[in-house]
Amino acid sequence: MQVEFQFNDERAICDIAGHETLLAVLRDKLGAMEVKYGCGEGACGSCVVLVDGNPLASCITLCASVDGSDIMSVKAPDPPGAWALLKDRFAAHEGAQCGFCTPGLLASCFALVQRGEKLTRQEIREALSGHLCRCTGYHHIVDAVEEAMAIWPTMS
Amino acid sequence: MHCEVFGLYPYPFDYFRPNTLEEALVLAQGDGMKFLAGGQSLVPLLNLHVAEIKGVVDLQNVASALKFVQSQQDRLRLGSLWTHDELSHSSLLGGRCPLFSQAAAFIGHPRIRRRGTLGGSIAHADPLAEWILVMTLLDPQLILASAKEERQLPFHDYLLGPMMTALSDDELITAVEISLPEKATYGFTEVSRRPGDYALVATALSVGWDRDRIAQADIAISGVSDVPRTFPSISRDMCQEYPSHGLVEHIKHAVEAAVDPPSDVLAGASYRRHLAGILVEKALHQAFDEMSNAGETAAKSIGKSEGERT
Repeated sequence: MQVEFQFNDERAICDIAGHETLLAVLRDKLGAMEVKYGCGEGACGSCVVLVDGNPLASCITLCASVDGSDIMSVKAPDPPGAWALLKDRFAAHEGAQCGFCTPGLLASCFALVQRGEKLTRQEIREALSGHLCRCTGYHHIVDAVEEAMAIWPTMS
Repeated sequence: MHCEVFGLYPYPFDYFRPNTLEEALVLAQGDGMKFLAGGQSLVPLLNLHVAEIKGVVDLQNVASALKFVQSQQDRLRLGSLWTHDELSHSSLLGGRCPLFSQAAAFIGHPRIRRRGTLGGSIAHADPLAEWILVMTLLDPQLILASAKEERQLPFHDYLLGPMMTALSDDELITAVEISLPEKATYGFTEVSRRPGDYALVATALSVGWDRDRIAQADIAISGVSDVPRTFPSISRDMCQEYPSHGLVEHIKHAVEAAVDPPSDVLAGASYRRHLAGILVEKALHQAFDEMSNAGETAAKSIGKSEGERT
């Protein structure tokens, strides 16, 4: 079957089979290597992309089910600068070490920041609880997100 | 056909996305078809090659028809495709049966809660799932539809064992119908290794009230046997009693004595027994506190209206 969706502001038309996951199509057909295969169970969050603005685990999302959607990864064009702000704060706080979890984490953080959420540290931890990071111990990530949330309203 | 590709992704199957419930039920009559709701349990099983199927019937275009709340005096009928996230807002049920929002908050993490559904979880029937525990406690009627017929099945006849149910391959859970006592409060609590993990032990309980005296009670616990279990005789001990510290202690010790939990890599039997007692104690306090809070609010509003009259 044929599906059509926006991926990082470009139109993507793909011939796919029913069983192909969004992750498989993004990586193997569209070459989006920033989307990572972690656990395959939707538990680790490294494959998270934004589908119509909502963070979704692409490894457990069938590509056929997102036909017509608007999909964004960490490499999306970024005129308002929210991705850049998050990347900058992650770098400044050393919120990424090996970097495998980072694209997925940034996608979830992007959704939070874009919605103008202002969360406490505990709420940030809860909001990001679907992401596993085996390097940082999360502390640096929470620092980065907390700061990005404080800065974003002054930028937008 | 590269095996390294199949090592990561599901084996091939077909995909259908019907626009009506009738169409979906007809499609499901095909050999090896599975309904796809939120996909938070089914697709992992497909990725891991635990399940093999011929095709999925994606319910996203019929979801709105299966998101409803019908509230009657003594019962509540809930559509099956509410997501955990939607059920975590107590306003959805108009404040009735807050157990749903209490339990939903413990399910997985935010991303799972936004996708996963009540009906999907009941169909999957993981014995440690929060909804399976809640259903064991409330024992609702499940409304099951196929292209041929619609039938009702009480939950205790539906759950046959861990991940085993009386649901036929072509049947869809369309709704859950719960009988509610006139005045009840609830408790729900669990312990897991990390937030979002399946619970080691979880407890759900309901307390029905006759003024400030306990009229009826039910207790259900998961993680201490292969599927969640209830404690009818211990629950009966609470009837006609007033909430007290002594009563909580009595129930806690009775539950500890009654459970015979398994030992596994996550927790030993004695630790699970300890948790069962602690969690029942906490859940009872939740239910009692909710009752006394409600009583205070009612007393205040009465006081206020009397004040207004004078």
